[in-house]
Amino acid sequence: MVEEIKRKIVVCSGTACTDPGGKRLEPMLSKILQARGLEDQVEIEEAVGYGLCKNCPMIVVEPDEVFYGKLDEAKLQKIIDEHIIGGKPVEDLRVKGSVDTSSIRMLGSADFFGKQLRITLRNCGIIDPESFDDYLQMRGYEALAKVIESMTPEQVIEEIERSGLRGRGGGGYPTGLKWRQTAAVCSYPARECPTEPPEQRYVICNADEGDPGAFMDRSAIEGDPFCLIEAMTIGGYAIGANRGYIYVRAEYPLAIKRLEYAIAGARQRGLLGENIFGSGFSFDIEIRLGAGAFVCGEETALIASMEGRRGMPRPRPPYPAQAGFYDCPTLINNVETWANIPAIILNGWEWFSNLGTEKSKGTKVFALAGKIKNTGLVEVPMGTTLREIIYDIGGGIRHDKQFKAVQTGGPSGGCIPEQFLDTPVDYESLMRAGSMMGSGGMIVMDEDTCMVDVAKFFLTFTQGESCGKCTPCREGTKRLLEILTRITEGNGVVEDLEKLEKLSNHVKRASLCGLGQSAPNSILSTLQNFRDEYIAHIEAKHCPAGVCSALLDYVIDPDKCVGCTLCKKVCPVDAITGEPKNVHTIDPSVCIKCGECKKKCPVKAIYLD
Amino acid sequence: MAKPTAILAELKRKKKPGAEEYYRVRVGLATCGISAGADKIREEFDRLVKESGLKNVEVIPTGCVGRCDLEPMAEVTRGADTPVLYVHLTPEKVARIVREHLIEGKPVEEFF
Ligand SMILES: Cc1cc2nc3c(=O)[nH]c(=O)nc-3n(C[C@H](O)[C@H](O)[C@H](O)COP(=O)(O)O)c2cc1C
Ligand code: SF4
Repeated sequence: MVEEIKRKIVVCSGTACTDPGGKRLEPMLSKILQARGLEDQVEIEEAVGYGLCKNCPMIVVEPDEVFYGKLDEAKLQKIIDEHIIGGKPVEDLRVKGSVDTSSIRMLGSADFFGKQLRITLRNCGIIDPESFDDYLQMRGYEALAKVIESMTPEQVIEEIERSGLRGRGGGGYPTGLKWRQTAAVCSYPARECPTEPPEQRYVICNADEGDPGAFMDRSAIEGDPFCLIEAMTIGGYAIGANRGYIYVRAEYPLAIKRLEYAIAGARQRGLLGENIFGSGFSFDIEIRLGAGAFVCGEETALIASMEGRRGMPRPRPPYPAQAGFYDCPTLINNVETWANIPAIILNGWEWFSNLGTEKSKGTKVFALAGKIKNTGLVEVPMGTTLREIIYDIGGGIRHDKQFKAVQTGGPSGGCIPEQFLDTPVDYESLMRAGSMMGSGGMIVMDEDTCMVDVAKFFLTFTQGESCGKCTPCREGTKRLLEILTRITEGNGVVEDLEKLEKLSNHVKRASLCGLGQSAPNSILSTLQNFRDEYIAHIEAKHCPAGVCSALLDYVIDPDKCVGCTLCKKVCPVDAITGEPKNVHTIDPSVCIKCGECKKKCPVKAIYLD
Repeated sequence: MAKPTAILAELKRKKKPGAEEYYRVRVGLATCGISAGADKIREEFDRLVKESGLKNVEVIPTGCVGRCDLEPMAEVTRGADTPVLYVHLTPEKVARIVREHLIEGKPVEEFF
C-alpha cells in the first residue's frame, strides 16, 4: 500500500552521475515503478547536481529529504519497496552526513561536504572550466533553451520573484523585484527617452569583489565561467536588454581568461550574439576591467567607472534600474546571484523556495579564512548556524585554541562573539547579531586576536578606500582611525570610547554610500562585545591578546638565557645589559621594541609580555 | 525551424563520450591551486603520462572544490570506481600516483 504522502524521487544529474561511466538511473527507476504499477503516483524529477559526487549515482526521496547513494538496480528496488511503498527509509543505503567518507578521508572531516549544498558552486572542481562541452554535459544552456522556447519574459521574472532569491552582493534586495523594475517602462525622470534606440536596457554582472579576504566570486568564475554567461543571457531576455557587461577587477587574470573563453565558445555555438538559438533574440556580453578600488563595487560608482568617469557613488534614486548605464535602465546583480538563475529555471521556483529560511532562500557561499582548520569555500543552505559552519564544516579552531569571534560582512560587517554562535546565517539574523551577510567573507578569530587591532585593520582599509566625496566618511574615518591607533599605542583615554561611539554614529548617518554608512560597524560591534579589551588597552596599557606591540615589553627569561651576548650586540639602542655567560636583562625604558634581539636569541629566551 | 532544445541536443551530441576505462585526472587549477603550485603538478602529470605512453589517461584542469588549504590537489576517477582525491601534491607524489594508480591500477593508500 502506498502511503498517503505523495513522494517524489529526485535524480541527481551532476557530472559524476551523468559521466559516461555512470549508470543512468531514470530508465531503471521508471521500469521498477512501472512493474509495481506506481508510475502515476511517484514523480521522478531531474535536479541540477547536488555536488555530492562521491556518492554517485544518487537520488533523493522527497519530502523526507533522504539521500541514497552508490545505487544500482537492486538497491533501487529495495528503496522503492521499503521506502516508497513501506514508508521506511532504507538506513543502510542512506548517505550518512550526505557523504561517503571513503573517498574523502583526506579531507579531514566528512562534514566538510556533508553539510554543504552546492547550487552556485555545483560545477566548481568538477567540470573543466576551459571546455564548453563539459558545461553542456552538465545541463548547460538547458535553462536558456527552456526560457527562449517556452517562457515569456514576464514568466521568467515571475519565476525569479516567486523563488524568493535575494541579491548576494551584500544588500539582499529581492532579485525578482529588481528585474521587474528594470523591465518596467522607462519612466525616470519623467522625460523623453534620449537614448538611441529608445528603451535601451543593459545587464551588468558585478564581479568587482573588493572585500579583503573574499574570493567567492573569483572561485565561482574560475570554476564555472559558463553559468554566468548563460544566466546573464537569461536576464537579458527577461528584461529586454541586448547588451551585457561583466565588471571584473583586473587583478583576476585567470577569471578574465576563462570568461573570455566562455564568451567565445557561446558565440561560436550561436548561444550568444545575434539571433540566439535562431529565435530572433540577440544578446552579447563584453568584459570591463576594474582597477581595483573597493568603492567601485558600489553600483553607481561601478557604472560611473564603466562610463569612463571617476568611480564615485552618486545619490540614489534614481536607482540603476531606473537610470543606470548611460542613463538607461540597468540590471546589476552579483556573480553569485546570477549563478543561481539557471538552477532556478531548471528546478522551478518551488524547489528553490523550499531551501533556506522563511525570508532568506537558497544557499550562500562563504570564504572561510582566519584561524580555522579547513580554510576555503563553502556553500550552505541559508539558516545553517555559524557554529555548524565553523566547527562541523570548518573543522574548528586551528591548534584547538579558544574561539573568540567571527567576522562576517567584510569591512562593512561586524564581529560576532561566542554567545551568538548559534545564529543561523540569513540576512536578518546576522543583522540582529550586530553584523551582516555582506558578500560572504567569514574570518574566524581565536584567543590570540586583539579585537581593537581588528577594528583598526578594517578602519585602515575603509579609510584608505573612501572615495572622498563626502566629509563624514572622508574625515570621519580618518579621525576614527587616529583614535584607534592612539588606543593601540597606549595613549588612549577613557573618553575616547565615547568619542568613538559618537563619531561612528555620525559617520554612519551622514555618509552617502554603503562604504561610509557601514565603515564604523567594525568599531561599534567590537565596542559592544569586547569593551573590556578596549578598557585594558586604555587603563592598564595592556593588550590581553598580546598583539599590540607598543603595549608589550621584551623580556629575557632568566632560566633560559645562556649569556651568549648576541642580543646585547644586536640591540641598536644599548638597552640590554649583562656579562658574558651571565643572565642578560632589557631596560624597557630604553627599548624601542624593534624585535631584533628576539630574532637573534639562539635559545629563544626572549619573549613579549 | 528547429526548437532551442533540439538545437541544444544537437550541440551536446557533438562531444563523444570518453571510454569508460579511461582515467581522468582533474587537477584543481583555480587561483588558489596555482598559487600553491598546481600548474607544475599538471605539467608533471602531463609529462609523466606522455613519457609512460599512457593512452587511457586524460589530465584535465578544473576549478576549486573548496578546500584551498589542501591545494595542490587532483582527483582521479575511472568509470564507476570510487573517486580518489590526492591533496598537498608534490612532483614526487605525482610520480608515485602515475606509477601505482594510473599504471598499476592501485590507488596510493599512503597518501590518503
Ligand atoms: C562600498 C561598496 C562595495 C560593494 N562591492 C560590491 C562587490 O564587490 N560586489 C558586489 O556584487 N556588490 C558590491 N556592492 C553592492 C552593489 O552596490 C550592489 O548592491 C550589488 O551589486 C547588487 O547586486 P545583487 O542585488 O545581486 O546583490 C558594494 C556596495 C558598496 C556600498
Ligand atoms: S560614503 Fe565615503 S565612499 Fe561613499 S561616497 Fe561618501 S566618501 Fe565616497
